[in-house]
Amino acid sequence: MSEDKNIFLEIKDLTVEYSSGEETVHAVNGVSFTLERGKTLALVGETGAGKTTMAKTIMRILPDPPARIRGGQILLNGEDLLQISEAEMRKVRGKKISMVFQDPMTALNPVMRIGDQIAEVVKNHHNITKKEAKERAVSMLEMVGITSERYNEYPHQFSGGMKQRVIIAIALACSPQLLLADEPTTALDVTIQAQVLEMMNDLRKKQNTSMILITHDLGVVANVSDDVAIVYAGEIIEYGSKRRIFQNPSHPYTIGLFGAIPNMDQGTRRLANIEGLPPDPTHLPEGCRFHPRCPYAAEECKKQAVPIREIEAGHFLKCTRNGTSGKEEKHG
Amino acid sequence: MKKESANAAVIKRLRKNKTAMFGLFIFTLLALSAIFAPLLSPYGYATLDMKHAFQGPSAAHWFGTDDLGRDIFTRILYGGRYSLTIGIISVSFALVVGVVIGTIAGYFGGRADNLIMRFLDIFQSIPGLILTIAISAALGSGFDKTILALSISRIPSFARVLRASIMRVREQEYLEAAESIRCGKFRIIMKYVLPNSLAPLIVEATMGVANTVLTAASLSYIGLGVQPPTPEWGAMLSGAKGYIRDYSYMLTFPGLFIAITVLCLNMLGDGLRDALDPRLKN
Amino acid sequence: MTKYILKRLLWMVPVILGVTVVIFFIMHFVPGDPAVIILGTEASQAELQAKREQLGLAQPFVIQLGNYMKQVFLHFDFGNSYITNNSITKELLGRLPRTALVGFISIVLMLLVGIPLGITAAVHQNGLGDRICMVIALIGVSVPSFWLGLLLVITFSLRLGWLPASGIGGLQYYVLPCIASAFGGIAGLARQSRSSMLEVIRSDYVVTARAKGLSERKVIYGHALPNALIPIITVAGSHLAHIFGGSVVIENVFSIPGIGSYMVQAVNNRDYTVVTGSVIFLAVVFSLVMLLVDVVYAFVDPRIKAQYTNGSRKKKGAGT
Repeated sequence: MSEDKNIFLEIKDLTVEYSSGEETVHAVNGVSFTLERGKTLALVGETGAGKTTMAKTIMRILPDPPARIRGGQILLNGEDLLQISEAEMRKVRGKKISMVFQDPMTALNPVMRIGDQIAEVVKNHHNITKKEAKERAVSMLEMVGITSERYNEYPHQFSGGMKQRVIIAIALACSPQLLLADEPTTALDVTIQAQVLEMMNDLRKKQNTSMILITHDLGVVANVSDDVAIVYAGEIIEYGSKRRIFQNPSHPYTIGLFGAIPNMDQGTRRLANIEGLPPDPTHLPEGCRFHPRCPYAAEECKKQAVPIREIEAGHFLKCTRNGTSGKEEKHG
Repeated sequence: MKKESANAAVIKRLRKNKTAMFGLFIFTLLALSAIFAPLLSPYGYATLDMKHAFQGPSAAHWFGTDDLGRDIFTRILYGGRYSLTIGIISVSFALVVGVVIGTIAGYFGGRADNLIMRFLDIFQSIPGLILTIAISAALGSGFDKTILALSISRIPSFARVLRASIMRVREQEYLEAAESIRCGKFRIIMKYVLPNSLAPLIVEATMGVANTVLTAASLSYIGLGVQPPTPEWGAMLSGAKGYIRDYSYMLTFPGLFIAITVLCLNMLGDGLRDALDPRLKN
Repeated sequence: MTKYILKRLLWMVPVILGVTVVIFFIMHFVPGDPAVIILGTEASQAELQAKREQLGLAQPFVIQLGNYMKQVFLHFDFGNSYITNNSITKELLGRLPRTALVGFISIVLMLLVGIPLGITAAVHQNGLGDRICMVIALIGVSVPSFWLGLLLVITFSLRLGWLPASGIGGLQYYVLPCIASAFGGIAGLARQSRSSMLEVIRSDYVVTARAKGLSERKVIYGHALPNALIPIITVAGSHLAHIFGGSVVIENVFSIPGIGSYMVQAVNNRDYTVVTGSVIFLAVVFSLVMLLVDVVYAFVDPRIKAQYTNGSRKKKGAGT
């Protein structure tokens, strides 16, 4: 990891599990990464890989019980968020770190005016008058492309895309250092996904807000991210800059993900896919979590945990293989 | 992954609910004691014994004797027959009629639905017990007439619940699929629509039996419904209310048993509701 | 909003007319001949027939119905009792204050005790207080209200002598009847409030509120509660129906000379014009109360308010 002074967020060895009665779901297993100011990290992986849990853990909004943070540190500007009190954490939420959720249809309070929902977060974190908070809310509305005349309207009067803009306005109203975006455009119509994503990206750049973008869409990753982390079964199995990951995908799973993208230039063939299903998070496989599905699995993969190695500058891999260039070998 | 039919999953969840199982257990005990009443007590429920009238609970008469010397414990056991039967039969009858009406309204919609809903609106503008009293007054008192009166009062709520359920199910795509392969309407209803709509109705029916037992007792208490000397629990309270000052023990047990019966049914109904709800409560 | 209220009032008219027709139809089947009731069993056939004609009972059903409806809706006259020959309307209006007072106090108790209890139980889910309250609430909805009334009389009137057992007068006469009447409603509304609140607390917008860094208090009372109140109000409406109906029996237990006891006496005396009049009267009062509930409901939920203040009545809000 570089000694860059711009790093303001450092996650170290984060482990989170959910226990409900007899079973324990190992949602996040020893995750570590860093983030620099103003940059975007994409967390890529299938549903259930643990990405949302990671984001919610950073905000400390996991339901406890049944979720339990078993270990690790979340260092925001050097301070471990997992050690501070709830009262102090509330000062962080909405102000230093905020979140945009996946489903805009249910994320807004149905009986509260949308303008007030934005003003609320501003008033909560700043010692200003109601009027000033309202003014800030109005300017946020206009920044996300909604006319200020709609301040007094209710969520049900807006479409999905507009609702998501309001949610983005709420998230960025206090100019946070970090924005956690959990599949912010997945639930929207394809035609407005690009619009909303672009607007969100522009705004956060203006505020120099870093972003952790959770997505399963590699196209979005290509557009918007600086760094990419591939998540599988609660672990980061490959990590690097966008360029390196796209040019040199090294983990068999990553290779599989890229192989599944239809290629317009090649002739029509069957889409490559990855054999098998994601593992049951209550009974994770021994050793490398991916080995049951990996075409290159060797004996050592089944036995011990696989260490992380830096295969190129800034490109990390959790695999026993040496990170052969993915372009040559395609399977499926 | 193990595959479980939806129904098996529901029953499993229900079994895990201790309160519901307890309620079911006690209710079964009550039902059995009502059925086997003659075996459980040496006295007849109508046997007069003036010499031993007005006795409080004792070894010979566990719940004491009433104004005519009858053993109260025996009367409670036999009374269970009336209260439980009235509850179950009324609700069953109302279910059948309610399902038919609700299906017509929910599945076919249009003018039939409008007409039926206006009717239901009218009935629901009259508070429940008052409507039941009016119908009961019109039909007269007595066991069967009371059952009929109680059924009629319950039909609107069943019809409404089923209608709402069916309207939700009707939107589902598998119905479009069935209709597109020219599946006959009746078959569609019986095979696809009804089975998937019944869940809320089951809860409503269980609570319905509880409410009916309460209503029947109330009717008997005010002079309608079933009358003394029949040992229906509400009627027993009606007969005992004159003695409230001096022999208040006579009022304890009939009311207690009404409460226990309704409590068990409510516990079971709660459990059914939680088991049928796909979202788990915790 | 006034448009909405007027619309609902207009809607009430056909419903009340319908109620009248239905009740009149039902009561037509009451066994017993009013002429015999009034003149006694000794009267001759001729006298009975004359009486029947005087009461308008010899005419076809539809004519009777028409006359009755004219009488009730144009002249506000429910007729006279067969037994006492007193004006039913006068009697109903005279008895209304007592029934209304018991009803009103019961409703207030139900709302002010039941709802907060349920909400507090939800906020402290699975705590000791929650479990105890819910057990008591479960018992509360299972106990027959008239039996509870009897037990209260036995304990507080006969054994302890603190409160009167029957009749009306000062405020102390209303304590036991209102408790007996309201207990089931309090319990039911507490249970419903709890489950409604629990459901709302799990909503996405509550997570959003937390993610804003709002205090837990603001999240619960500012975001969760206003949304939870919407289904609670709906359920409160159905409990109102129970309180109305239950008043009939409570008045019997506590010998309160209200509309309920008037109706029950009439049933026992086969005085069916009184029964008809009482039911219609109570239905009207009940409908007005439910209208009030709907107005409150529209106030609390802006989605409903929007539907009705815009003139056009849509089933669900349309949004693009």
